[in-house]
Amino acid sequence: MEKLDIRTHLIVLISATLFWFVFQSNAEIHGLVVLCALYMCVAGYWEKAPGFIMTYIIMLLLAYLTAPIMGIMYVVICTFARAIPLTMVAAPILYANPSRMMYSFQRIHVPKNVLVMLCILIRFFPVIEKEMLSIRNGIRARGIFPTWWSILKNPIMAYECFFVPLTVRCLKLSTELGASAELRGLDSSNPRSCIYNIGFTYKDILAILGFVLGCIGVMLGVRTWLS
Amino acid sequence: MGNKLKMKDIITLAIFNVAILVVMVVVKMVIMMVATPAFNYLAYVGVMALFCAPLYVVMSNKVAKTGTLFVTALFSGLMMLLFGSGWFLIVELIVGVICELLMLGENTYKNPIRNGIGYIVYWVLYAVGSAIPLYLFKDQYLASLADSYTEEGLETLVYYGSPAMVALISVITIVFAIVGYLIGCYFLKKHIKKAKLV
Amino acid sequence: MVELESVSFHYGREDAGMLLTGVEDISFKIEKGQCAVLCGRSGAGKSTILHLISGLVPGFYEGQLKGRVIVNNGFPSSFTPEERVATLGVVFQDPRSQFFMGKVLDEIAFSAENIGLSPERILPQVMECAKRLEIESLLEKKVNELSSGQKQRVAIAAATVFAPPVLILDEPISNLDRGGIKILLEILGEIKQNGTTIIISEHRLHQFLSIADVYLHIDAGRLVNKWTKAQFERLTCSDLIEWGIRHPDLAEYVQRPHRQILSADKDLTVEGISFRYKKAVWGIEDLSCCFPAGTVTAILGRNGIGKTTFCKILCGLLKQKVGTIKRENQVLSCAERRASSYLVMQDADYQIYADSVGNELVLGKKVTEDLRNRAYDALDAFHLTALKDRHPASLSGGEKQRVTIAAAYCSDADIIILDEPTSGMDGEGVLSLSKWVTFLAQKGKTIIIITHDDLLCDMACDNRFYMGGKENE
Repeated sequence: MEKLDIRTHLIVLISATLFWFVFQSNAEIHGLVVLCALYMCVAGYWEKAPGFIMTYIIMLLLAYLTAPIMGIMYVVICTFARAIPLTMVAAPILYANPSRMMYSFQRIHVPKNVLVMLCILIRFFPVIEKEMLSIRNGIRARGIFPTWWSILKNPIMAYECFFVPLTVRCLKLSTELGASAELRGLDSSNPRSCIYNIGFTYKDILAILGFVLGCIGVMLGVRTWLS
Repeated sequence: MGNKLKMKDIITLAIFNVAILVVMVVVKMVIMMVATPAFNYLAYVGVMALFCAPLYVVMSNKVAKTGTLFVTALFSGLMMLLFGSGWFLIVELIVGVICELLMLGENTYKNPIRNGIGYIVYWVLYAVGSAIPLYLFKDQYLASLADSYTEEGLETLVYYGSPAMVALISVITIVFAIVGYLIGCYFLKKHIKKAKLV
Repeated sequence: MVELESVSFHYGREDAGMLLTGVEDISFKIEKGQCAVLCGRSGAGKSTILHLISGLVPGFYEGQLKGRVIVNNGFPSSFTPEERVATLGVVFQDPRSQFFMGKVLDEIAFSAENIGLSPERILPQVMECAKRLEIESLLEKKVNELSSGQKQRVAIAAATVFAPPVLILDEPISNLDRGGIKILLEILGEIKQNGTTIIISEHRLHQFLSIADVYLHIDAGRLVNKWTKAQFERLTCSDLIEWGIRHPDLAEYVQRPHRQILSADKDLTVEGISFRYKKAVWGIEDLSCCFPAGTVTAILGRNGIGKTTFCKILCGLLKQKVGTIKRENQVLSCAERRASSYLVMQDADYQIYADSVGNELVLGKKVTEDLRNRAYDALDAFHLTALKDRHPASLSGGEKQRVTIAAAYCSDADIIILDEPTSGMDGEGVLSLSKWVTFLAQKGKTIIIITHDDLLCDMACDNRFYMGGKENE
């Protein structure tokens, strides 16, 4: 199945954000979550959808349980939960093929510098996380902070032990990646090409229409049911 | 040398900003888990400003060209877009432009005082910007939350969204950002400049 | 064809008052289709020459350039991005900072997409390239999931997709096991037969005798010797070690000290260790061995077999699923292992925190008289006294490593584990390292080294432990 265009994901994300603002009741947000899950499946990420739905349900349960105890906790958890449907629609962009993503966005005139930044954001976020874990392992391997308590006793040293290697690694990564980029023509003034077929097909239009109509349906349906 | 961002600057900014984002996410998670909700609301931006400082100071001294703060704002906005708050991207774009206007001039990023002002203003605008829905769409927003939030919860939200509270959050953010920036500068001098890495 | 005419380059800007020497008055010519290997001590200027040929200098790495660099009848520093992609292919040492894309197929097509070539031109070339390098089965896989050898083949594919006339490789075999080296040499041989000029910078030089035509020896920024393959082969160990270059017979040069027999009490005994990462298909199964105190044991095995994982378990960073690790007849918990061991990671950048070498050695401990003496001892023993006040991050790779090993000496750890310490190290460095580990072992520490380096094993190791069975080595 030809995958949906990344721009479709973007349009659906923007639509979802707008509807999210407009939705007033809890039931509408539930409806939005279902629609987003359906969209994820259509976009080809059906294995990931159940995970998001489970998180949403757990958050709601937590909120319900803490409501009588602490009002503010409820607010915090609810805010978190309400963001989940939008994260679901953003996920296809996050997991998208960077080459396709850059080319699609180039077609809507996103500047090349921003494309490169997006590519690095998506591609190197997990890399930097791993670097931080390696730094933590390095500290433990030297036996410097054996317990949590020792970190609190020496905050300045803990700060240095974390940020010195992190900054040195970031500087090195920047230099090496920058050199690699230059040698591989990233600073070319020609527009990028892409080995995949990129273009809107009827599937994209259907997906967008389906989503928007679904949202309207949810809105009207819930409001009539409530009144 | 020129003041335009070249590809190697873009990549440096990208890598450092990704690191800044990871630190922001980790800080947010840790605060959510260990601090009281009150502290959460009031200080989470401040604490982020505190811990992102060394990365920002090193990055801005290495690149030191127009657009540095704007890119940081852009990255924050993009991350929020991918994490469910797309409107924040637009807020951050405006924040970025404001900060760049503040930083107009030759070699302003290398000037510790002006760089510091830029950094502090960035975080204050970030904190204020997060509360924007409570202004522009206050009634709308509250009505939409009425169903999810309890009476008490709503009151708390309004309380935290009131101008007095936002002013308090701004003050806290400024204090933390100043402290963070000073530590960041000290860190730059003690380690990075001493090792001649920048 | 690559030619340097009286080239001198100094890093840094004149106005910044800080000019670090790169290279001085270098002239040589490499004919089309030849393979040149740059050799010399660490820090001699080999990388600078590679940067000169690839055109990164003086644009990307600022500095003062004199003389001319000619690659394929053009000046690399003034190549347009399109010309650069078409003329040069570069394979870096560190895979972490080479790959921009997630999937192998995308990575190979990356350069072509960057300069805007049409898909009709790109795809057939990518497929042919994948076939040449035998990575067709890997095309749909994620780059992160590949072994080091596979990653390198992908990097070579990405660099040679349009068959550029010049291919540059920076320390290509430092992370490869024996099998990986064999495959690489075959691939490079084929590429050379197609008429590509290959330039390699490496420390383990004798591996390249099958494909090299000329060995260029760089020392302190100057081109000191130019050997043909035959001449290089005839050079003896004593010739090369004077220049700090490795030779396979270097082990004979080393005086192996008499090992003291310590009581078996302090030996580290490993019984039946099994471990598997959560999402992994396979893991370590039922490992048992013994690491006698006061000796140096090498852990050998092909890439990907789990050596680093095993070491993380030994030093307490990971908890084993099954099995025990004992010392003095007591089972050691993870925390106890962490407290009594010290892991020297392959990349010293992860373990350097202080603002001076002196402070680094005493990091995290109360500075008592005893500790101070030990620190001065360490500075002396590891030749770091002159560097005492320097910031560790400003040191060279070899010096940084010495600092972490000296810190190991100052710590209370009895078990010191080194992960691939000689990867990318010159002959002098290997000699020094074997001296340090022998010194540490003589002080009664248990030293464990993960390595691919036969030379290091011959020189410093008393015992060898083969993971995955000897036939796999």
